[in-house]
Amino acid sequence: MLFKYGYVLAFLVAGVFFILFAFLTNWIISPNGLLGQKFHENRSVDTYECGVDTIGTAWVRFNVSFYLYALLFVLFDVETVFLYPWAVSFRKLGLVGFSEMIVFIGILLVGLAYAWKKGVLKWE
Amino acid sequence: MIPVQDFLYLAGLIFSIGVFGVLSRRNAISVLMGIELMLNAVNINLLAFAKFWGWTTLNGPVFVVFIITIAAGEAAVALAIFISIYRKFKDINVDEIKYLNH
Amino acid sequence: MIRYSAFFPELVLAITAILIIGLDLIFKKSKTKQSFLNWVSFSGVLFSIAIVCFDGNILSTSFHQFLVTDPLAVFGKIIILVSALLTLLMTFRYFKSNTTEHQAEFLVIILFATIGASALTSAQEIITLYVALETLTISSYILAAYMKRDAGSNEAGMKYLLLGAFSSAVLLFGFSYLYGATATTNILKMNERLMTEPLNALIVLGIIFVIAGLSFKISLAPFHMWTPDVYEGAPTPVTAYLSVASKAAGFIAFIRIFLVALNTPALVHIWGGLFAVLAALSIVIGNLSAIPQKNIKRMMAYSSVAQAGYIIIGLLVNNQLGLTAMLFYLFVYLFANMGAFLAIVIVSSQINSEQIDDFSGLWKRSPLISMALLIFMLSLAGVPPFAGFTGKWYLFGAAIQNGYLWLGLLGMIFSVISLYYYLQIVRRTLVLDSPENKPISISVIEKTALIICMLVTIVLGFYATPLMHVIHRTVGSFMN
Repeated sequence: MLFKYGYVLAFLVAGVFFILFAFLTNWIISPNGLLGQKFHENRSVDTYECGVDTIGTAWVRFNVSFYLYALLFVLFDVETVFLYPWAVSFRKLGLVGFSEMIVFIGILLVGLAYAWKKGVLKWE
Repeated sequence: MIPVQDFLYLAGLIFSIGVFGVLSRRNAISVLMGIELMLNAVNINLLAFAKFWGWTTLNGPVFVVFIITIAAGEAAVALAIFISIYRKFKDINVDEIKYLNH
Repeated sequence: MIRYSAFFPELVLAITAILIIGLDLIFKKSKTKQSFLNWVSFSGVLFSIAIVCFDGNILSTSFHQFLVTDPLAVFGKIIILVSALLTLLMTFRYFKSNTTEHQAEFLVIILFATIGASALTSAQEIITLYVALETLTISSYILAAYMKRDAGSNEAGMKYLLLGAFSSAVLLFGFSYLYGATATTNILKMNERLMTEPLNALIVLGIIFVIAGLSFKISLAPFHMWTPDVYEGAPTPVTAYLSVASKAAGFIAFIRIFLVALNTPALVHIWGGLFAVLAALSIVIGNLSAIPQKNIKRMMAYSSVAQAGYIIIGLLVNNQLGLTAMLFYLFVYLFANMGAFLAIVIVSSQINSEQIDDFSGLWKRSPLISMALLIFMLSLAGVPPFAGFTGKWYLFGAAIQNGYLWLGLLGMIFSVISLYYYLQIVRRTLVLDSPENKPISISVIEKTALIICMLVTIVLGFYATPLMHVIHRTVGSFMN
């Protein structure tokens, strides 16, 4: 019995140690830490972007083509919420429930086909 | 066990924040966000009441599912109209869009 | 057992709509395709009307009492489908002068809106009611903003959307309280529970929110702010649709919620008084604001606010007489308002103007349309030989008999005032002269529709017995 709890304790100690160790090494090698070089340039507070200088701000406008994708995604994504209650009681609903869901998905497919044919899914 | 009143207070608060957003914000997108808050307050209410009645009636949760999907559809239509407005007026500030008889 | 036939009228409309989308995608753009699609949509609605008229399963519920097919639903569906039919006619004319490359989708969205309105009339559950209402209103947002190159249409769409979504949220908040108080969303069961439940804050708050939310949809003052801008900016067929089909659906929802679910002696006191105030405000504000208007659609918007005020009188007296008057007036209003808008669409698409002043001298250019406008305007104002007078007679009579003497008198006084702005149009078409003399063209089917609307408006003024018989049966099955 006690042995089992000892196991937990060992894990706890190891876990805490790992976290502390990570913080410690981080502090040791970090620029302002034990071993790190001291930088006081502006660049040290910059956003890290794979070592390349950052260009412009993050507040840029996105291409408006993204908007149609987002719109379609939101619609089709949210419609799946009906699938969950249906799936849970799938056996109880039987064939009628199944065919009704097929009709529902069929209507969604008409919408998708419409968007497809109108060229919404094409990247320009 | 959290009493049902607490949920109702929370929903009432969120609803009021939503109403305040709708009435005070001039940017159409912010107004829409206010409306979404109001709808979410309704969802909290419905689920709280279903819990209060001991889940004997499942119409509340079903209602919530419908509200969520319809709100998504409404948001999609709203964004489409806002884009169209922006192209026409170069602005989506509800105070600035005054083309009709004033 | 689920009786699918309860959903057949809507199903026909849905299949027609999906068929039109498919055909539009498959075939190349051409004039013949467009007129073919027009006729597909037209015959789809006609078929749906036939199904409604010949469905034998009156007074039955289906989908676990989510939908009910009772005489009231049939009556509402007929009003809505007929106005959808007339809206389609206007659409064909409207797109001859205002071009858009997405004409087929416009028909489809009108059909979707009609599905929502039609399902709303048979909603027996708050959930169905909400879903149907949103199907109607979300389609209406798109329709109002449809002419995307036109600044007015864009503005109308945005205003309608923001205020409509706001009012839906308020309505839902009210519904959530009513659900909390009664633990059901079924309208009949809700009434049973409310009968025994003592009055509490939850119910009262719920009722106030529901009234505020639903009044937006039928533009009762003071919830009418969106009406003038949306009616003016939206394409004219959409304005006609909003002023009749969407309102009729809203009134049926009012009847289902207030005369069934919330019809208990304690609650009637609360909403009866509130509705009396809203009706009086609508009549006063609607009629007074309509007088200075220069744009005919804006004038019709204020006029429809006032008309909503008259119609709601039939609801607040809460008895058979009131409901009879309400349904009769709705029927009369359908033909008078739709006829007026049909005439407006035909004229304004050819003179390229919606200003009342530009209707001058119409008498020389098209005697039939001027005659039609005269009859519809007089009927809307409630001048004796026409049907509008009979309708108002019943409504104000019901108000006076049930202790709302002041409301009846107010309605009468403001009906006289409304004569002024309705006759402004008539004066311009019949009396004033204009330099232009080019005749206004009108197709055979438009002529037929106009003449039918005129005949109904005239005949119901003299001889309303068959319609009253139907309405009495409807009301009798509903209230006792």
